[in-house]
Amino acid sequence: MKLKGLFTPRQSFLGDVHGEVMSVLSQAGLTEVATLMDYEDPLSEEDIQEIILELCNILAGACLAGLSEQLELTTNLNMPTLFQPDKSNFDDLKWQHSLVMEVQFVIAISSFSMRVVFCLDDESLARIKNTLDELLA
Amino acid sequence: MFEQLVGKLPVGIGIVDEQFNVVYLNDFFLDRLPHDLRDCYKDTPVTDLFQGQAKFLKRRLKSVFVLQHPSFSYWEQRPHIFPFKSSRPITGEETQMYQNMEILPIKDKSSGQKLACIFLQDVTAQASYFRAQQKLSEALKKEHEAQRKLIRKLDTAQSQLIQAEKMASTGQLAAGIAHEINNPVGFVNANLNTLGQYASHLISICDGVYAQLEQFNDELKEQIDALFQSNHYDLLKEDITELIEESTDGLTRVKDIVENLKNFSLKNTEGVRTVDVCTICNQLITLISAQYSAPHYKFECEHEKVEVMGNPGPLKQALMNVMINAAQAIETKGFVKLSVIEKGDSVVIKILDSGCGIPVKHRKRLFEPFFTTKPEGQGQGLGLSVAYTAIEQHQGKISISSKENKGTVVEITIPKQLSCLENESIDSELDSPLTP
Repeated sequence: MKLKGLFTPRQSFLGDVHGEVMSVLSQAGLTEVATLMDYEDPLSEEDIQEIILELCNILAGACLAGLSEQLELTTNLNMPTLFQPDKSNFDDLKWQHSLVMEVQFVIAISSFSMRVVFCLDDESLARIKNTLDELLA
Repeated sequence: MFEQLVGKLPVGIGIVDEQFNVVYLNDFFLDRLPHDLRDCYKDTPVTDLFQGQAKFLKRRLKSVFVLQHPSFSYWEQRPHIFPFKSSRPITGEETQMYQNMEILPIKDKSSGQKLACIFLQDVTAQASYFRAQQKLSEALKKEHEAQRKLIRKLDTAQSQLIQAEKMASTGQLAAGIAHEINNPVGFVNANLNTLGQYASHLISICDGVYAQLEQFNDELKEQIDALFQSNHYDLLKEDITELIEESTDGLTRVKDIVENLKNFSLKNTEGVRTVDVCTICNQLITLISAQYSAPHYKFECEHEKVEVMGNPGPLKQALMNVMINAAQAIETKGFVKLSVIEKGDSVVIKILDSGCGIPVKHRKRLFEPFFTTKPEGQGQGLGLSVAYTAIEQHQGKISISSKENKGTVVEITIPKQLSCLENESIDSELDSPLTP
């Protein structure tokens, strides 16, 4: 799987629930976002990486914070890293179930878009289910 | 106790308030601060203390205060946020500290004041190890690539050498054949001359008989007349001289070609002597026009003779290689012009063709041995490099200018006299391995 024109940073979180947040960012419109973030043109390779990591951190963080608040859970995000899906071997992964929560961010004035995908481990999935059951009961 | 612990932790810990003023710095930071700042760092904006990356720090701190969410920075993207030296001032290889930074939002428990905590990790060792690894892998990759190129080059060189060896023996063969052809051509030529004489004798006998025809009796006269008629004597008489003349011409041409072939078959034990460039050029044109008939050949020189000191074999070979290229550049219509110009102490030989020209990308490699644009098996890519070596050894220069689809000019300049020192080297170096 090669994702062209896309960046895929990931960030793990621990606390009441454990998991990882994967983000998919478009390369398109990144320069405009960079300008909004006070970066100077032209962007170096390092600048681009830094912007992506920071965007992932801010947006994924906001999502997780929102989710945690509503479900009254405590979570702590670790540092984001760049992830290259095409260099990973997915066959070695241990999980079998997936509950996909997708949040999409679009900046109206630019072609930039970003998706955040939450991944929870089996234990956390059970916990979320219980919490939701409690809330809905 | 906790304060002591935090103070001595091997990571940098700094706390700033919403105006970015420093509330606390642990020893990690303090040890690395300039002396004059160590007493008055409190309540100074952190961006004043560390101005190098002030803009970045301010941006990140602001984001932490606004979003109440941690922020991270890595050495890969931003290696030196704080201008600290590597922790080994004497033996370390890195002069500046590589840093990972994390800024966390915290709150003062008693006052509820929003604060930000800066964690700074020294990752110099990790970074330099990583970079060394990267350099190593890059070097390996480069070496690998170079080796692969070398192997490819060796492969082509090998096949070209085999081809060259084949060509060399073919050349030797041609020289041998040329020698062998000379003998039969010699006696055929002699015989043809005699045959010509005999024919003219026969014709005069017949003419004599015909003139005496009136003196024979009628029967004999009729018989002889019939004989002349049945053998088409008139036609025979007219044609026979022409045929013999044509054959003699043809033989002369065969002789010329064989002679030139012999001259160019790299027999060069002669060493350095006076060479007439005009003669060589004319010989070349005869030889090459026999093989490449498409171009129109021209020769230009103001003098009958232009003499230089040189080794005729290599010199001829050099000119021939250039000429063959010129001739091959023309597919259907065009010209090849040779001009010889005397210029003071040297002689300039220009070989100009109106052929296809040389693409720019090939121009740098023209004299490189084994560089060829011909399909494999048709050229060894040695022609111009041989020419270059020969001209160089004659203390001359060879230059090529070309325009695609317009043509090419090769300019060879050689001095009329060689300096003594070089003479010997020409003698020894240019002895061709093909000498029988």
